[in-house]
Amino acid sequence: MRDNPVLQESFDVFFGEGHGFAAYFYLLIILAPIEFISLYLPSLDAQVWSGSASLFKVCSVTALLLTVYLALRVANQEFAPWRFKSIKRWIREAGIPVAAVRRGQLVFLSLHCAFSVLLCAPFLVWAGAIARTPLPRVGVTFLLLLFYALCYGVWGLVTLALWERRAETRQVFIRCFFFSLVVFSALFYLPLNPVAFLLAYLSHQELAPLTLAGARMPAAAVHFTFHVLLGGAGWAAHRWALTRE
Amino acid sequence: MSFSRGKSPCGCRITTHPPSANSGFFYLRRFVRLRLARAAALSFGLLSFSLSSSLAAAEILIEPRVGFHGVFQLGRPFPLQVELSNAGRPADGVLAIRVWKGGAAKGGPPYPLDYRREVYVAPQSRKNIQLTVDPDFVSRPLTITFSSPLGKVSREVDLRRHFSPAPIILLAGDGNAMPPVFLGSASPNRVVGIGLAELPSDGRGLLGVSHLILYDSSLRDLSRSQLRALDSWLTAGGRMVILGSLNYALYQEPAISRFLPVRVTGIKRISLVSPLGDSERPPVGEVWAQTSTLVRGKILAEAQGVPVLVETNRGKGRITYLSLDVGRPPLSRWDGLAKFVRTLLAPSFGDDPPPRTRWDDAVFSQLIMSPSFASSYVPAGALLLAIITYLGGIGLFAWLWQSQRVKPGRVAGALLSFVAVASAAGHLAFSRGGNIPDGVLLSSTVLENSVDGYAEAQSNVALFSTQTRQYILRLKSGWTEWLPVSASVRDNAGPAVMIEDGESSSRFQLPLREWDYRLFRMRFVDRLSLRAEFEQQGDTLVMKIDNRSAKDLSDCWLLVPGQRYALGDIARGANWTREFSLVPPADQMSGSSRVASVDFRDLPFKDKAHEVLFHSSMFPRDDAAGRWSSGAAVFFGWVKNPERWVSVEDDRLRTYDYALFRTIIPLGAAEDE
Repeated sequence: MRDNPVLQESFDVFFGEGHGFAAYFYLLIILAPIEFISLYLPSLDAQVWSGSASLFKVCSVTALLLTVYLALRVANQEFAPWRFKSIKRWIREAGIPVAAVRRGQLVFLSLHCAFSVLLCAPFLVWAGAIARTPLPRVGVTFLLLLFYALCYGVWGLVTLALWERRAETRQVFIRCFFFSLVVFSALFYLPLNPVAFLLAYLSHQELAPLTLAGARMPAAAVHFTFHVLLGGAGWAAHRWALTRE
Repeated sequence: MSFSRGKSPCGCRITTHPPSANSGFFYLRRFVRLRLARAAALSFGLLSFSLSSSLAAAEILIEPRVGFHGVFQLGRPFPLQVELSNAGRPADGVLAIRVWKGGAAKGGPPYPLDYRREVYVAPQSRKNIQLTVDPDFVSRPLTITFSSPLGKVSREVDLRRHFSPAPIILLAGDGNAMPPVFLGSASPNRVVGIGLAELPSDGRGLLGVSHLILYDSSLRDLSRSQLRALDSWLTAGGRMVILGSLNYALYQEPAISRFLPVRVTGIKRISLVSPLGDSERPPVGEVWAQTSTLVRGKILAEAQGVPVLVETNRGKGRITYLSLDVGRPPLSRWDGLAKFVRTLLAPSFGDDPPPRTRWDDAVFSQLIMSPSFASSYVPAGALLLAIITYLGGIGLFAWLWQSQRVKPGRVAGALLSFVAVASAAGHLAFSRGGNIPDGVLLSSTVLENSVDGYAEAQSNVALFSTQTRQYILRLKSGWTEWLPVSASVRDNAGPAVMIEDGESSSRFQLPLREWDYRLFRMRFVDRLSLRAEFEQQGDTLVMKIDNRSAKDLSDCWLLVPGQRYALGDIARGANWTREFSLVPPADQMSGSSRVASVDFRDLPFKDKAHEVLFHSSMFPRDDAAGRWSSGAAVFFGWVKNPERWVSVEDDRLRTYDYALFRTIIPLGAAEDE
């Protein structure tokens, strides 16, 4: 895998030349003040604490939104786009097989997501300790962050493969995709929304099951089925879009 | 039938043979049968033992006695006497009384409250246990359970046929010489005659009693706890009426002398027209009256040099002494007796309760939101330092990576280690160490101006927890009211339990979830020899302070309409008199009318918690504000190191106690004219 030129190029641009540091800088510089401010802005609902009690929830949701959004942008090559070779050049001029290009992009996206979660880890662990969140829940939250970042981030690769030469189109699509699925999906069916699901998980709440044609499906099953299908569809679409080249 | 040879799992060879009398198999089978028989015998024995234990436990009988001869005032605590009769084995167990609190009357869901006491009942014996219980409603029965390792016995008591909506009047005496007490059919109060031995040993048990009438009886046989209970009931606002009798020696005993406002010296026949002072009724004639000298209080009526009616205050309560023997002729046949007794029992004026403090979720949220308070339970400084250190460390690694001074592999490894160490160290510091307590107990107390060395106190208590755990609050003896304010019972939260440790103190066991809290109101009458007296002399207010208590007052203020005076600290032992002008400065006068209300705005407080508690809880802008918004002088000062009435024996719990001493004096009507 180390010999994969697509992966090597992404590494060089992101870490060798330091163009990708901006993404991690944004991640940390947004998460850190939110963690501190939410600790210092306690408020009291009727019998429900926020502030210190909700510190881990607030930080987890912030980390979720940031990792997903940045994963989409990184996959879409929005950081230093001029430094990346186009897919067409990799395939036609460099003679790299489509499968190698696909693998290289997917592996780099996975590494980016893992690195993002790693950098967030101390903030989330501290927030969990202050809010008295059990460690297993903190661990599951890390897994969920990684899962969502990959499920949504793969659609950044799809966008890149579909409209590589139309940077504005890609940017608009990425943002519409993010807001419609990560934010507005809560308006239609709450368990589909990753933020709602994460909050429900951390609050020990059960979301309403989905009833279709008399059959009841647990909210968690619906949620994970939807996201596995979404990620799988993104993976298939990415594969299809690359084979077009 | 065939038998085979084989190897046991341990490898040793087992040889099996056909059954014969001499064979090893036969012995093995006998051995197994013998073991089985022994095991069966042992099981039977154990079963018999457990059955006999259960039966023995079933020989415990519960006999409850509710209130005072079956009567109690609903909404006030009352004594519950439980007699446990044990006809079986000795039983060492727990007596639990479950009552129901909340409900529609309190505007919340009903929730159970258990009272518990550990009890040992010897074999073939009876034991009486007296507890004070306080249900909020009676539609659900009170449940008495005695559970021990031997078994469990329960009994339900329907309280609906026992309660009285109005306070009870107790007539305590020997029974054979009770004077008739007629209150008339219009009176909602019920008069209950009891023996002195039946008086409860917990002062709270008397809180549903408005008057206690003592006649021709000796208090000599009362236990120390019963006398203490009478004392605490009186200071909390009870009224005792002591009627004289021919047996004046009974009134010279030390037990009753502690309550009497006079020292009884003897007896004398006096000629009495009417103790009521009305000339319409025929004269009573010659009556027996105890002669006495005044010790404290004031003489309200006197005849031929003999004090007839004397009254004194004891804390919030009052003791009335009548030297006449109303149980014997001619007074017992006097047609004005019933009216006279009613006048003795009539509620006195000027006993307005102090303005209630406000204590609810809104007040508590304000307190919690104040940064100075929040910093006491959240590690804001440590977290800020950790964030800055972490970001700085990440920045350093980025610089090392880009400058290529260190091999990339080493930088990457060091970064991973840094993140792991930061996470682990931070987790340890913030979860186990640091500044986060398991919970915070806060009490905010308002002490009203003391009378006779007693001060009525309203204490608002908040307990909040950052952990899921049980808390045990220890209430100092002498408390009269302990009410949960926000009592909604969450899922998985067990019932609250009041554990009675006898007469000395009570413990309140409370389960809380993480980041959960409960609010309580508490009332008690505390000894506090601190008096603030005011006298209005025209446009001047004369203030006398006499602080004989062991407490210093800090940050004291006197507020009058349109003016405020900072008095600084009033140390213990301070005794001074000062004059203050009631005329506001010219710039605050609007036309000819004076400023009518006291202005609490912009009062400077050093502590933000003081400010929140003062404005939101102690002097709220609600119905109680009428007491100081229409021409009143308000004096207050913060009590340094106030006494702790609620405590939790736990190092992981942080405690904050705030107490304010206040006096609200209505200014004369002449001021408004």
